[in-house]
Amino acid sequence: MSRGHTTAGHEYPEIPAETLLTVEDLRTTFDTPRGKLTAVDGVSFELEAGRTLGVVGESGSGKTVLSRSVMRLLPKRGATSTGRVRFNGHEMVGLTQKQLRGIWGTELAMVFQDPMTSLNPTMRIGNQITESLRYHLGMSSSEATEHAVVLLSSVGIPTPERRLHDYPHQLSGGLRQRVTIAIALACGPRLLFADEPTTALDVTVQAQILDLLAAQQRERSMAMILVTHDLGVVAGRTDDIAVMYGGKIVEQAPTKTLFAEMRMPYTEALLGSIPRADQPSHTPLQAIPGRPPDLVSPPPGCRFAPRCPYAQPRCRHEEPPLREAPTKGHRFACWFPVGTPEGRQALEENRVRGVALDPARSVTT
Amino acid sequence: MGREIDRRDFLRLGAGAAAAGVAGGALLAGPGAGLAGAASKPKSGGSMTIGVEAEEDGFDAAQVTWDSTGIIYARTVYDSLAVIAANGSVQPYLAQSITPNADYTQWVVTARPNITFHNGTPLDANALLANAEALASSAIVGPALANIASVTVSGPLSITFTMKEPWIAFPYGLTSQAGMVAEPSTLKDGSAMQHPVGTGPFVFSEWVPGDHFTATKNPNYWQSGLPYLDSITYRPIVDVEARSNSLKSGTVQMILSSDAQTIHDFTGNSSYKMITDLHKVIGETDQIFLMLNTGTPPLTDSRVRQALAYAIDPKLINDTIGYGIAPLSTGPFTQGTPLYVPTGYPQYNVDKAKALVSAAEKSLGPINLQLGVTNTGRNVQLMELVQAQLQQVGIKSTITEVQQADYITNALFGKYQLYLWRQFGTPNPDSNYIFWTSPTAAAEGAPALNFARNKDPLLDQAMNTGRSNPSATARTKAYQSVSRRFAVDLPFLWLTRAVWASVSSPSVGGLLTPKVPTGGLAYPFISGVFFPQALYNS
Amino acid sequence: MALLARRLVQLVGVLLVVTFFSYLLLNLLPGNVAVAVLGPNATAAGIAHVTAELHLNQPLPQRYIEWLWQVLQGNFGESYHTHEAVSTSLAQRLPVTIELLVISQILAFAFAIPLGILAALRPGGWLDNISSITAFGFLALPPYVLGVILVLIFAVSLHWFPATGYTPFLTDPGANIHDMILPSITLAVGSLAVYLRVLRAEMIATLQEDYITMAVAKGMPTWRILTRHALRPSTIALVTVAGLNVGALIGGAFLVEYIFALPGVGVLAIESIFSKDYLVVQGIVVVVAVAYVVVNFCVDLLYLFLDPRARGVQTLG
Repeated sequence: MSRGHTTAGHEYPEIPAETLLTVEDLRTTFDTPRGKLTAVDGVSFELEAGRTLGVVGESGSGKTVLSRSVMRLLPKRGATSTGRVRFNGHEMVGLTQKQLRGIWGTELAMVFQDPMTSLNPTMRIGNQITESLRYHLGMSSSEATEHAVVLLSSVGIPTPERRLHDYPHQLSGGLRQRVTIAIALACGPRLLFADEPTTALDVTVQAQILDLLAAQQRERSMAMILVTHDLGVVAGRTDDIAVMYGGKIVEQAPTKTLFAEMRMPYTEALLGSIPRADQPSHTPLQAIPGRPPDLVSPPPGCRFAPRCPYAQPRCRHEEPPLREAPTKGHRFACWFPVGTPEGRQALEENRVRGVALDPARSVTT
Repeated sequence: MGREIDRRDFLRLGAGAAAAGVAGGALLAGPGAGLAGAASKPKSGGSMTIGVEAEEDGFDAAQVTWDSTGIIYARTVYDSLAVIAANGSVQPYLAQSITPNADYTQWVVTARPNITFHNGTPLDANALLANAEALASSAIVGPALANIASVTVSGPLSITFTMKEPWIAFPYGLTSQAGMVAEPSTLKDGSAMQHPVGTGPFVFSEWVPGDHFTATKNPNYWQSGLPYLDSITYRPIVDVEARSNSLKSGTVQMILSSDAQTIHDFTGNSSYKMITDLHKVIGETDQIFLMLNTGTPPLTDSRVRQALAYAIDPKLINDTIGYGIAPLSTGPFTQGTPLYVPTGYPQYNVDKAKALVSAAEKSLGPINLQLGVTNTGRNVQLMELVQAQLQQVGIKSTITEVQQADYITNALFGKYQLYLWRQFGTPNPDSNYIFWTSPTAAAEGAPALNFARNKDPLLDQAMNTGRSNPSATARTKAYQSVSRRFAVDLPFLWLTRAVWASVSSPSVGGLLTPKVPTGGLAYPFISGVFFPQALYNS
Repeated sequence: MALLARRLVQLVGVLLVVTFFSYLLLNLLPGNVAVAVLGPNATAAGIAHVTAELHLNQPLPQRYIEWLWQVLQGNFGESYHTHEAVSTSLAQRLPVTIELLVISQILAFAFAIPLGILAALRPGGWLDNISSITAFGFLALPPYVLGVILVLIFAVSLHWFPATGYTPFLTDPGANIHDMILPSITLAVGSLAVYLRVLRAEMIATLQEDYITMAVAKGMPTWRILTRHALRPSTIALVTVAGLNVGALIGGAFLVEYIFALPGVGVLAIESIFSKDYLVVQGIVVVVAVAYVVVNFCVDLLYLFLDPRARGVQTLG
């Protein structure tokens, strides 16, 4: 038996409440010709071992940058990331590339959005799996190959021995994403980032891949952060959900709580924008009127205010803090939360005034 | 005949230098300096590599035309029957004697006894005959020997040439291409082209065309003590700059060049020994000139030719293109040689030129000339100067750049108006008979060796006198009148004479001290040709 | 195999077209072969004789077909001037040109690949800036200028290398390499500059690819990512450029041979064209055309090696 399995299976039995990842006030900025763009703006959260967190938001909400920032996979130039990221005993911020390489792949792994581009077209699948086994775990060539076969069959690839010699272009999209999952799982990571792992795939394959990820996560008692724009994807598959908007977490709750008691109008809007089966899979989220805030010079107050049907004058001047909801583990940032008397009143006032719901007007704000 | 112009000369014409560019400034020049060079003692042994201007087609005198390099190659493995001595006279060399009959219609050539070719074949009358017959029947060399009626064996070591017309200058021809003697069987089986066998100072060793030709010392050479070198290698390096750099980098120990650039480069550089033929000339060097096709209008009109002669300023051209040091020419014979006389060639005069142009244009209409030149940098530059000078006197012209190989063809067939040209270098002006006299001046479209198509009965008469009059004084006078006739006929607008240089490392000697077997010195360095057997590297 | 067959057909086509047009062009040039052969002493009789001897009076298509027929039997004819068999001349000179081309390309790749990789690693870094400026400088420098500069420095001043000349490899391998260093560098520099720029641009693009980020996320070390992951996809464009460069390279080799007085095919070609030695020119045209097609065939094979997608095997799972 190789170490990859034992790592997931035995060395770390399911110890409840062991905090694997702590993120505190993480802030990531990029230099752009227009000025500093703050893509992640003071994000804090925790993740326990073996648990899954869904990070949901529109494109541009900072969810992908958040996962790259946690992984420290940011471009070398033009990007600054501050705050605290404590993962599995490592203080990630400030680690050198060399130190990070010891963590990447072995403790921390990632599945990318598009399996068409995330596999090297000029390398055989076998080599792409075995190279990290050989490099990180010091396996011999035959050991690594043997292990790769096991990995491939565990992610549901038929005739894995033959596939080892294939090149990515010889596989369908679904199979390719299974291969990238196998690659990510190869060294038995404790945390897996899955960044929109199904967006590029056929609708019929999406559920299979998500189920595979969930199954692997359970089997290996590995923590997972599933990044998506689609609340529907995370609905039944994560323990917790964090909703991001404009580089900030605007609401976070255990999955059931979030769907039952969502407080943030943006969450509500996102829920309304879940793609329906009769729409093509790549239909962009047009359902929320307006567009995400400009992160180079974000608006004062609540960043969602210009698009919010609940928005009141206060929202445009005073930024709501992320505050605790009555239910344990539920946080949100809103002055007029959904499902509260304040919220209902705000919505009613707006309806009377006939503003804010007019998409055309909100776009121009 | 001797060394005529040939394909490569025209190529070199293209090579830019040739044209008025050939200058010399430098001399080793003075005979004194030459003797100083000779003062170091010859040393036997060692080897040398010499950078030459171009590669040759082969070693068979009947199948190719040799330029200077070809003659040097030939002198390495062959001996010529005659050489020119330092005093300008023709002396027997491989021949024991070269004797005419009373009216110069028969010449008896007798070989030295007890000489063998490198392969052991004896040098005898049959060997001489085989060579003479091969040359006379050659399509390439034959025309220049057309005056020979027959060749017969007249003794164990002697052959007799019988001429159609008296031929006083005949022995001069034996100093060069037509005088080289190859082993007869190599002429028959064609191997002389690639693997020459001669009686010369060096034995053929290896020839890789385009790269090198190497020969090793002939231990049985008939001149005892010669050659000095154990082996000699020639490397054709066409590019002028590359040739100079090869010397400077020590890749070769000596280079030969007819390019002004080389002479200019090494002038005043005491690390090298430069020998030029500027100081003294025996025979005649090549002249650089503008050749006019007198058979085609408007150049048929002598006023136009005169206008051109007045319009061109050779000094300006020489100063601009050739570092200003090459001697200017006013005729085919170089100042300082016995045949030189002031010719009365028109001096640069813009006003006279203008007057002649306007006079000529009244009957001819506007004059518009085609100037032809080979397509290399300095030649084109030179022609642009000519064009500007013509413009100054009201003659419009256009310059056509002509591919080198076509240059000679166009001249031969008269398909040109004005060409930049280099020719006429020879030990004896009789060699130019076929280029200057009217029997070879055909109309345009037919091949004519008289490229300028100049027909002048007085000039023909003088050339005939030079060929056949027994009196040396009469011959000299005849040739002097030839040069005056050119100043009247104006088929050639003279610029400068050509200059050759050899540059070597200081350890190289002997170039200036080749000996004639009968005693005295041979003429050492003529048109870039030297005697390899005299060379040493101490 | 199909590729090979296709290339063979292509080779035959290329050879026919190229040789016919070169035959045509050479014969359309003004001037007279017989005069070129005979030199300045050409007489009407001599010209007629040579013209008949060389079959120059036959119609052009007939001469071409006769030439082709002889070539098919392995007979390239002989030089009009030296009377040496064209095949002998080619056999003597081809190794020189081939050696020059091969060494120069090895040099170009040996420097372009590591420099291109390192430049792409930090675009805008000092190494990238220096190599970019140098590459542009070299691109702007024609080989004859560069050759002369190299000779002046390393041959004339330092005496490290000869200014001209060639020693066959079998005669003295050390001297052969010594002789070939300056010419090879002269020829290599232009290619090097192009290859460096192409590889750098391709590497920069490749390093943006997801699969590179994926490899980084796998914790692969930088050198392995550069050499194993990024290099191969980036060399596809490089190989294309190198294949297309062959024509220019052969032209450059001819020039370099001239500058360094190397006894290669190039100098022979130049001399033969000037002296209207057409059979020699035709022989060279055949050799160059074959070389061009063969090199591009090798480029095709390299594509197959470098880019699995080009292999045309589609087995969907």
